[in-house]
Amino acid sequence: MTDEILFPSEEWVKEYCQRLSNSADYNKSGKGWKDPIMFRISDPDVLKGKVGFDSFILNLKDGICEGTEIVSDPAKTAPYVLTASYSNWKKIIGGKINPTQAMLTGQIKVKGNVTTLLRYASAAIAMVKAAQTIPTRYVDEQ
Amino acid sequence: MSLYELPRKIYFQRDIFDDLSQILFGEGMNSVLVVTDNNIYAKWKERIEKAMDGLKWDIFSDVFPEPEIGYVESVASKFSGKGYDGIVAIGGGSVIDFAKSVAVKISDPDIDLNSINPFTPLKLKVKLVSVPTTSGTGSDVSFGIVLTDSEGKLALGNYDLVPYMDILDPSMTPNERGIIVPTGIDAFVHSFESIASNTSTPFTDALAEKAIELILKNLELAIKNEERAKDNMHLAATMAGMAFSNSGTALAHALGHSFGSVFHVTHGTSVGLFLIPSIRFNSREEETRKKYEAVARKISIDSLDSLIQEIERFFKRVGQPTKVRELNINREEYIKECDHLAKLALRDSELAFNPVVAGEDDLRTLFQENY
Repeated sequence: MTDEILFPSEEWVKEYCQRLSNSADYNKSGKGWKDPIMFRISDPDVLKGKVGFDSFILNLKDGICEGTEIVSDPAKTAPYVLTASYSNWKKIIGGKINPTQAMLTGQIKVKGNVTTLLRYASAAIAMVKAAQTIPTRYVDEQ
Repeated sequence: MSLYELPRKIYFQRDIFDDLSQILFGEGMNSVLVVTDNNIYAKWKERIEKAMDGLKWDIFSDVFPEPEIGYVESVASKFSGKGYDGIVAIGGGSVIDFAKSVAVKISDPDIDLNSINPFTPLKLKVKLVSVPTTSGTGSDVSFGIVLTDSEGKLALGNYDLVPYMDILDPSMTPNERGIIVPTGIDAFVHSFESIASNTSTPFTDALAEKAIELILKNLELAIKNEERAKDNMHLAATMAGMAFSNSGTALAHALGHSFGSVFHVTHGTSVGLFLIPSIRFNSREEETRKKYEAVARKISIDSLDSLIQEIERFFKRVGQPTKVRELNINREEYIKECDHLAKLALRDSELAFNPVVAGEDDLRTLFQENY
């Protein structure tokens, strides 16, 4: 059985970045995308004492993930910031919420150029599919 | 989708339009702006005046197809601050989209229409009432607006743009085959795309499946102006609109938008052209294939291949092309444009709802193979 990787953790973020670069669906749907995206947990208190950060950045370019950055500075930002509660991120990673749907219902708050983001909405679906391939255990379920 | 937005009321009755003032009074609307186009106004001038009897109303009747954003803004500025309770859109998709845009600007004159997106509430200060005069666009019940700017078509959307009330009066629909067919095909494609969409639910599937059944049975008779068939087509178009507005449209729309904007082909014809290739492409995914097979069973067909053949026969009967060459577009000119078409389609937000991720190469191949 494959070892499960803890979410959120630096190891999980790095694994995610690698799986995005290896995803044929993401490679083709993310082609043309240029900007880093920050993923933020809106209720970091649920991670208190367990995880030392509440955000991470993926440096995405042309359908490839070129690197990651773990963020604990609340002032840090990125051209695009997607914010959701910890429980909603879990649902998205677990495939229980469609990411497009989550953005439409406000479960994911979007900051950045929305017009551009909408043009890459199929990349968002591919990103979630890549996340779902990671064998994940969650920090609150240990 | 986990959110369903629908009009508060839908009236469906032949000639119900003639009682519109009573309906609007009943909703507390005493002062309204009527938005329409010159063709509709010329045809229904007396009827509109009679239907508005007793209300305080102004009219704007110079809407053109695919409204340009600057034009919408200049028109909206003329009607701002007049204290309307509602905006009544009488027309096809362009008129309804225009009225939605004017409602946004009247409610917030500082807003940039380009910035409308599904994530930021609009808080309209007027109630939108739609009276669709074609059976197909679904704009009368949907959250979308299609406008144009210097870079081409802009597909914008927000749930606050779902009209408050929809008046379905089939007597307002045209008799011309050239309008009935592409709008009917548009509704047919909305239905299939809603079903294929990765955010579809049994709620939207039920509406879309019934719409498909109604369109297959009624479009040919509607072309012959059979009254009952036109009634059914009007209802089917709205059901398809309610379906796709609460799930999504997908690949055929991305391909059709791109093709239509480059070769200047009507929206319904363009999306219809790419319905069968989209069904074939998406049916590689098992879950989507099963959804198409469920549609087939609903109309007493035993397999996906037979469903595709049935659609081909249906399109032939009503005069909807299935290949680009049927539109007398030069092969070399078309193939030369396929790269550009694929790039445009790739950036269409409708692809977000497609169940199978389509990259630029997939899109180019789909265009090339459909000549």
